[in-house]
Amino acid sequence: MIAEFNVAHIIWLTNLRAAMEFRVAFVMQIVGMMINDCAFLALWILFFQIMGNVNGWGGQQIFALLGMNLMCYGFAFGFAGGSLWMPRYVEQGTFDSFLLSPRNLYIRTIASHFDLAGLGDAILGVILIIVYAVMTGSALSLVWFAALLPATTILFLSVSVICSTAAFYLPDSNHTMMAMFKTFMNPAVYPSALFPKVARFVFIFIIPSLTVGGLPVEAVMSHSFLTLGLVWLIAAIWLLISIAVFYGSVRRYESGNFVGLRG
Amino acid sequence: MTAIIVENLVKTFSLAIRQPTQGRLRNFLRPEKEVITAVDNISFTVPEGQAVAFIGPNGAGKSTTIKMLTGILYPTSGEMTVAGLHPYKNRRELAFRIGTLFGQRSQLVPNLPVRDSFELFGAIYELSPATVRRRQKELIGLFDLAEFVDRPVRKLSLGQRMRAEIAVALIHKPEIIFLDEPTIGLDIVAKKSLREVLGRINREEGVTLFLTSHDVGDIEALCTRTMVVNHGRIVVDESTDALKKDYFAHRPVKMVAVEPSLEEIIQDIYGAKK
Repeated sequence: MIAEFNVAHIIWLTNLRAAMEFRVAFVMQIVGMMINDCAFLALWILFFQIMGNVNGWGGQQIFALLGMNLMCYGFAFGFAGGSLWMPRYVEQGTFDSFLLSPRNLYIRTIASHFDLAGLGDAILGVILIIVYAVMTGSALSLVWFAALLPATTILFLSVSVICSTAAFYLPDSNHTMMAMFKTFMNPAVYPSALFPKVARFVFIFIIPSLTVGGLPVEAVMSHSFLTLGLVWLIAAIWLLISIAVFYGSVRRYESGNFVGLRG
Repeated sequence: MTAIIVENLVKTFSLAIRQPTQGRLRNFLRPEKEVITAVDNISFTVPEGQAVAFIGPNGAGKSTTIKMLTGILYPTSGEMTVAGLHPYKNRRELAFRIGTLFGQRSQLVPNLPVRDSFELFGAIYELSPATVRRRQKELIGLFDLAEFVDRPVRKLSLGQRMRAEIAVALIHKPEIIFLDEPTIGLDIVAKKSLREVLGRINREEGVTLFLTSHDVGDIEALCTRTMVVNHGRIVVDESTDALKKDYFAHRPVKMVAVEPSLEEIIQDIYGAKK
């Protein structure tokens, strides 16, 4: 398995070098995404300035929530964004090249592409988490975030892989995949305190949005090992499901010789 | 030793067919399905070191067969082994032992020099940096890549790119090479040079070649045996020489009279006046 991650690392470095060939686009994408994220953060800060705290959540927690979200989105797709490209690979028949590769198919596929904007997310996410630690005066929170980040990133990737396997069942599945993925992703950027009990259960255990957003922040705030364990357990279960769904779906792959035609 | 064994191989695809007589809503809600048999119960063996052409019209099942042999597609039924391995059960082990070139696909990194693709594929095939450097040097010489090996792939001509594609596909010294229309879109000079190199690899290194092509020149230059497929079945399987004798014994010759040049016409008109 270490060999697989070594190869994934080399593929990532190669993709990074390829992206850096276009210097202006490279910088613009990273900085552009950071500016976009800052605008979203500003809206939340404005909201809490007007509304005050909501069920114990305020500006500080929003720094933690967005920091966590951006880090796991950024690390997931800034390092392994191939899952988002799977519909294109399947539709155009370029998935062939991964099947011809002597590597682990799951890792090879997700490592095949990296989202440059995701690197911008990851950088800003780290900055926001550091700001949160400074604001709360808790250096220990950084350790908690570090303990949670691998689990939330794995969960993020697993859900994206499951959504992308729609490509093996449906033609032109890119929009379907994005719709499914946004259903998961959108609730993750809202404070968990806003969710009533039933919705909380649904968005932790069935659509695990809060498990990459609100739940990790709660774990950091309360230093709860139980919540930390729950996040890791949910991530492990979704990882196993994603592996099973991915390999089950690959059997349906029909390849193809896609030729574009424009009228 | 046998490089490829195929027994009763079948591949079917299911396709939704739009019925012109039905309404659009009915076609959308309850489309009729048609089962297409792309490969229909084929069997053959290929000994090690042989160069085989697998030819036929578009849609005959050539690419589908290659894709099953390389582990890309699961067969509907039938058995096969390639280099002693089951392509779909031992996909990763097989990938270390075969090389593939699909003329319509690129596996090189478009924005980086060819040299970077050598290094990437060397790592993917678990070769040591020293082995990669040695193989890279050999292949650059063999395929005459020195002139453009440090140029980004997107800046290469089609002929240069195809040479680079196949060189990179050979970095791990495969025992069997599957080539699906390797010379598609190449000019005569590029085709000739690619055929020469492939022929040399087959003769000197004993590498098995399994080739599909619509170009008779590829087959004549490289392959000692030809299988012709049509509608998913093998209809002819014999030596390329025998095939030429049996099926091309009578060659129609088209004669075209060369038109006189403008200078000759003018000379005719004005010369006659004189």
